[in-house]
Amino acid sequence: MPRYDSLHGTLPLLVLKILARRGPLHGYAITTHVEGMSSDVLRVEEGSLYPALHRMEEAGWVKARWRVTERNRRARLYEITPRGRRQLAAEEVRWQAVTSAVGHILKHA
Amino acid sequence: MSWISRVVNVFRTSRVDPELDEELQFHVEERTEALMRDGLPRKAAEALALRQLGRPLRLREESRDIKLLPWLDSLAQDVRFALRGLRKSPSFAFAAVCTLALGIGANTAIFSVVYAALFKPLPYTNPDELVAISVYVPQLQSRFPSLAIRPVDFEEFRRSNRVFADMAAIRERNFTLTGRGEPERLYGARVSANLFPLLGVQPQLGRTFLREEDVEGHERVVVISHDLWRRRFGADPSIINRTLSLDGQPHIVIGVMPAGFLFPTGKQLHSHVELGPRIDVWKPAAFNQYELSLEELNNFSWGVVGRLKPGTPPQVAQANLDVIAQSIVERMRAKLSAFDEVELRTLITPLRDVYFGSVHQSLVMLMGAVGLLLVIGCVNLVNLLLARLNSRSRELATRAALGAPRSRLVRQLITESVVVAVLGGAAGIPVAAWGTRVLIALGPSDFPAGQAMWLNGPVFLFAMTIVLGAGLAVGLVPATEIARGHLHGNLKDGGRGMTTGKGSGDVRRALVTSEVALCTALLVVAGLLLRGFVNLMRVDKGFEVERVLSVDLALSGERYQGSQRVAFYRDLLDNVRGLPGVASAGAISILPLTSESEGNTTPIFLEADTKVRLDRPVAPYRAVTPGYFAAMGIPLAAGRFLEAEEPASNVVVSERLATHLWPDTQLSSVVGRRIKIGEVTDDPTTIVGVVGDVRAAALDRDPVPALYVPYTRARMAAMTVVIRTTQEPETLAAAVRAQIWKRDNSIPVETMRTMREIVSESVAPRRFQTALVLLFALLALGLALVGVYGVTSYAVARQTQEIGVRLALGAQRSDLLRSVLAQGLRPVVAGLLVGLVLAWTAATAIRSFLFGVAPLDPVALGTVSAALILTAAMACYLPARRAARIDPVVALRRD
Repeated sequence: MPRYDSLHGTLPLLVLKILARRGPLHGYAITTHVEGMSSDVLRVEEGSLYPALHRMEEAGWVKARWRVTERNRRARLYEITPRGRRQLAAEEVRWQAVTSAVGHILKHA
Repeated sequence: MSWISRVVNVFRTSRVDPELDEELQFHVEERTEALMRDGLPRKAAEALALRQLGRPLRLREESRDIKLLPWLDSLAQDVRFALRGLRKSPSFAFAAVCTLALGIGANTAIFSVVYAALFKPLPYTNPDELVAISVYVPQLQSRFPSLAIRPVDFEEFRRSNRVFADMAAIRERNFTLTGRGEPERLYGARVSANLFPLLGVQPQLGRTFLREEDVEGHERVVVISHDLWRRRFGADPSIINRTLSLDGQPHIVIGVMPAGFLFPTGKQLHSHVELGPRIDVWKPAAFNQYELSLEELNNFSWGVVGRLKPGTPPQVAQANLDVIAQSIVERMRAKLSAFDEVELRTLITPLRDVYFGSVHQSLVMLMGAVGLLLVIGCVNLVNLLLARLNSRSRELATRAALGAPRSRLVRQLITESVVVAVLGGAAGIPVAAWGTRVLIALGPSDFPAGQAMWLNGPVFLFAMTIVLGAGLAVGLVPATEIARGHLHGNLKDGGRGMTTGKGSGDVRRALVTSEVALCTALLVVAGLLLRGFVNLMRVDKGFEVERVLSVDLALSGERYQGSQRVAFYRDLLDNVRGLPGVASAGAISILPLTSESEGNTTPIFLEADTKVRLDRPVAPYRAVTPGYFAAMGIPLAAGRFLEAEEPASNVVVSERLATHLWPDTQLSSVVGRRIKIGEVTDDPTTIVGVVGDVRAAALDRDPVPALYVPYTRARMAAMTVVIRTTQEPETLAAAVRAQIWKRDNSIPVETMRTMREIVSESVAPRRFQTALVLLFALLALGLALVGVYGVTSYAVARQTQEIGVRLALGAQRSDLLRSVLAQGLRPVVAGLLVGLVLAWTAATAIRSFLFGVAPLDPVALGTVSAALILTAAMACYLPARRAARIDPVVALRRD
């Protein structure tokens, strides 16, 4: 099965969605969620994930906190902010519009 | 993200990185465990997890760059723009950078001294535990605020206290080094064997003293300084165990101290313990029986340093030592009836205060003066920037109209002023380096300059703080003008004055007022110091300064015993008197102004006294040869001078001693009376003459009662020969040296100084302070005048049209001149008035530096006020004349 490493442009959308659904998660959990839920079709490269997370943090879409996990290790948990939820809604709308437009073209071109 | 937090981020990468590292580390560990659960062995799982992570390094950099890059980019843009702007107005750039370079350079130079004196830790182990110990006798405190310590008391303190880890004693002991080339006078000290370990310093070569060497008869060992080792022995490592001839006695070198090892020199440890300006040789103290006798009262002469046990407050230590002192006094009372009414108490001073206490005040004053200079410089810069802002208002208004956000313009202006500040700071570094060198070169010897001063990390940090502070401070004023800005209005009225009308003019006049006020304060302080200095130089010294040559001699103890010493000096002086150009010659044990302490002092009793009385005077005790008073020009008040072959039972006293002993008696009737010197039980001596009072310790201290005894009575090895000449005294130096070496070529003759040099050295600290403050004040005056000139010129330029109209309507040019002058001088006068109030506060604060000058000295205040008004009038005159010469036609035609 082919894997799509590049999620350019869609990564923030996926991250925000996952955080909105699952609550605070650390970076590793986000990658496993993306991979698991897409049945390993989508693959998050860590090299993109962490810069993206920091960008989103700076934009105020997520906030991060250090927590101790149940296995007694320090992990940085990301949580979606109200502003992030608004962004998510906007991006979802945009994504639906783009995919339906692309689908339309693919179907009728 | 805010401006500030971006700046913080740039410098905070080291803090950001560990967090990111930890986050990634967590990621890798989680991934590894997941892979292991899938059945991979740990090693392979780790490798795979790391590979999947990608190159962490790249990742890390990307994360940081996210914040930094665009910001750095726009900063670079701003800086480039600022530099371009400065290139376009070189005169502004020059004035601004020079002002700052001067202010920052001078501040850094002074601060490097202040840092060395006040903040730099002393170069010993746990220096905060080190204290100096002295004692005082409450009944004698008005005469002797504190005393150095007797060996016998030192040993008792050291043995019985519970608060000190250890204590060491030190006393001056100079030597003549012979046997290798020219004889040399070495500065040295006797120290208790534990001194070096107490301070926590190691020798560079060899070892320091053993306890058993600190015993009389075993003390012929020395540790030498790095400087002496290099200078005299070519840094030869085989110096250890070599024998040196010191004062004609063999001493074995056992160690060499490292370069820069400092131990209190001069009078730092105690004013009665006078060490040389450096120490070449250390020798064990090895107290002798005389020094260890409980009854001997002449040994209050050792400096003592102690190391407090960790955490012991000085007060507790002092209380503990006071108890011991009490027990000493009780044992003495049993033996000495004189001690019946006397107490002994101790004083503990942190070593840092001992080192720098004397210069502390003077440094604070200099720091204040130089700080004011920087403030005035900054005020001036604000003025310049405001003027520049006006000329650029059209550009700024245009940029605003084209959509540049106001915050962006403010940022641009602040960037510009910070750029100016950084340039000024960079130019200030060579100024500071040069200034520091000048301070070292010109500074008096008690200035901590020579000890440890260089442009180091903290000093540089301080300089950078001023740079950025000045940059922000200076940028803030124009920036707030913009932020309040009437930018759009400006574009409309042709950009002639963005801060139209009153606003900026008021700000600029207020700036001039404050500048003049600060400058006035500084000038008044400088004027007062100068007046004080002049007073000091004019004060009646009691001796004559011109045409006197002096040479310090020390006869080695081996070769010269009592009567040989007398013969040597008598013979030498007779021959010197025979030299052409010599009017008179004599010798004294301690020359005036060469020792701030009084050296040997002795209590004096009346012939009738049978019991020690504390209200009797204690006088410096000086041995003099015939010819001394004549050579020094000290006048005779009654009786006669000491003569050749003067019986040891005759003495000469100073006027003050005579009136102190017999308050209501004529000086002439004092001659022939008898006193007892030292002990009430001693045979009385006869006063054969009364001489004038001499300011012997320092020019700014009143003369104290003094006693002169014939050299035949106190035959000291070290004497200072003084020669009154009929020509320039320096020209006789070679002939005098030849006379000395003709007798004995093993006598070192290093210091031949004229009395003028000695006086000059004794006032060096005061002259130095005065000169520096005066320099700062004159620079401040220059800056203030530039400010006055700038504001007036600007006002004239802005009123060109109005002046044209007035001229066209028939106004007289002389009226115009007067009105512009008045306009320019108004803020100056306001500043002067405020400044006089400031000056009064400042003058009261520095009262202790003023010699014979009232803080509100009318001469100083008057001169400063007149000079300021006059020069300010001149600064206003140029633009006023320009205004008066305006051609109304041209003026009216201008846009």
